[in-house]
Amino acid sequence: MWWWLACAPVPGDTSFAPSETAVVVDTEVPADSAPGETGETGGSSSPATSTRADLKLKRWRQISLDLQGALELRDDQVCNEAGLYDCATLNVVTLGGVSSDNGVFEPLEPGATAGLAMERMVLQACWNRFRQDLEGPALVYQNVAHGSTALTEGEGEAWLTALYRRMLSRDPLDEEVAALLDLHPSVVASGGDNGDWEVLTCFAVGTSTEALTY
Amino acid sequence: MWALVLTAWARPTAPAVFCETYEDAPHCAAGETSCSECHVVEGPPVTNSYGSDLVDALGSWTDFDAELPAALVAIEGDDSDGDGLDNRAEIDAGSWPGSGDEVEPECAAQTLTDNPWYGLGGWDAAFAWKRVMHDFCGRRPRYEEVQAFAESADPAAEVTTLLEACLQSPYWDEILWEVGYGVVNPLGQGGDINILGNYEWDLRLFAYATSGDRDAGDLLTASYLVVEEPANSGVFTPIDEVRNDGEAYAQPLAPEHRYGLITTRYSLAMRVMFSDVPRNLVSHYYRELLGLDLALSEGLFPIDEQPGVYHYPAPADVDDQGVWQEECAGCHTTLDPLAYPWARYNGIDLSGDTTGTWMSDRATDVLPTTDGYLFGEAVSGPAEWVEVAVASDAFAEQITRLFWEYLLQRGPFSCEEESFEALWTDFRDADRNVEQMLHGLVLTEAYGRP
Repeated sequence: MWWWLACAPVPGDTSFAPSETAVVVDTEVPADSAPGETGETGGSSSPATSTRADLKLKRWRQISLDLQGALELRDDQVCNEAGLYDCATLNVVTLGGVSSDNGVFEPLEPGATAGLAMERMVLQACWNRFRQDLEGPALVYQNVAHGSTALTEGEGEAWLTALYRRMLSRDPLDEEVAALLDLHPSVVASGGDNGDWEVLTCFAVGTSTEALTY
Repeated sequence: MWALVLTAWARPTAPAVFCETYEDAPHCAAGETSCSECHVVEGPPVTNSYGSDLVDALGSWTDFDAELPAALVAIEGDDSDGDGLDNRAEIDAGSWPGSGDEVEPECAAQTLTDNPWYGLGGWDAAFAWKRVMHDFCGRRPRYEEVQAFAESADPAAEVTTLLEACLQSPYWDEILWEVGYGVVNPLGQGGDINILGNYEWDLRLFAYATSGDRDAGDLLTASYLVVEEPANSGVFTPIDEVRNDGEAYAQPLAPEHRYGLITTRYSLAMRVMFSDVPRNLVSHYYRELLGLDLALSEGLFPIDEQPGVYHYPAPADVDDQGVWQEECAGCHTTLDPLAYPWARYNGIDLSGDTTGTWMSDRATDVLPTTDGYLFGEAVSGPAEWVEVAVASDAFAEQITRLFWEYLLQRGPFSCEEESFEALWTDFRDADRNVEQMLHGLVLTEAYGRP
């Protein structure tokens, strides 16, 4: 389930690696923004495909700062491996940093473990915020009864709207809300509750292409 | 079997012969011709398609340097990389006849198209604004900030305003430090009471000279040192004189002998070490600050210091290292004269306290003067060396490239070479101000075209 959620096809999201056919205009939908900065949309409902497709992967500081801002965490609250080592520091080379200790003076190309390191940071950040909110006062995980398995559409939409605004700085599309609401029954069927669903939606949105590239 | 060995045998004399044959070629004029003319740059040392054709044309290989010009001419009409231009046309145009000339997919033409979120086919203010926030402030724009941007009457101006603000952010301070790593190559632990020096002095100088309204030429010419006070505050202050015994040990040179990053204690200790002729010192900064890697046969400007003695240009071999030999001379005819001006700077002194100092009598037995050459131009000592270096196109291009590649996570595409050149020539002509260059960079299509 974890894998599926991490790879859940959020509508509008696009392939991770730029390619000739990738749609680079991902799900960036600044709420209430004018349609394009250079004019009108021309009435087309499906976006044109960029030939550039030149996305950049965020590096460790950017990932950490995004999570700190979105989830109102201090830098030492985002992610700790084994509760001891800051994930960003531990994975600094993997996530595009440099390290004099390791003789890495320039950022390396992202390797196979970059995605794993990112997932660990996002998942822990989502969980750490949830745990703190349970102790109160709740800053992020609000408006949903965490221990319950019953969820109204309104409660779900309210949470997802808040989540998208925090994580992606925009409102969710209707199909994105529907897709994430559709996850709820499977979480409950697996023995989870609303709180599990909230954390997993945070993880899914936080590990989307849109969240990790720019 | 022998043929295979020959095929993989890179010849350091080859770029010089290439440029003698094609002396007007843009790569030769810029000192950029290197192994990559004929070899694949990454991976095992094998030839590219142009190099392979050259190997076939060389025939016997009994006298490589003598046979090479004819072989070059013999394949001029071929199109080794199959891109539609023959080899000679590519050499004359300054492109690479062996590879990499295909137009990247990212360079495909696109009609201006207005999508709901970003306009395609050209620079888009919303896209550039978001990138600036990530690259210079280190984070995604907040929801409220996106809302406010969408209401702006002048989105392009917002990009410039945001950049100005973010250039003052703690995040950008850290990035300057990180880009500096790529130049300084710090190893081990920093610490002022360390015979090998404390590289944090170097990193502070890098961050200082590449920020504010400063000339990045200070990286090579600065006679000042940079301190951070209070510690870890990100507030850098230049000082002309050391102020206590700790600083005197950390940076023992008098101001009149300081030349930016080259002469810090860390730089001298780590790269001069025990040698009379500080070849590692100059090859390092030739690569990192002038963009010319001698190990790749880049930036070769051979000086024949033993004319008529050998059938090839040879260095003087002042310290009896055998660098006159043909296999060595190809690079050392450039490298050694590059290093002579710095011979008075001491490296490591294990028995005394002269580590990282300037000594008027150092290495005078092998180098009575500090005359040398940079870019084939005679220089009389360190002061002229750095003056020529800072004024060069190579310096302007390399500093611009450092930031371009850090920010875009790639070099320029072929369709961006023109704007890249405009960027570094503007940088060169405007007092080498990095922040001003960055303002130009974010307005390029390379940066702001979705």
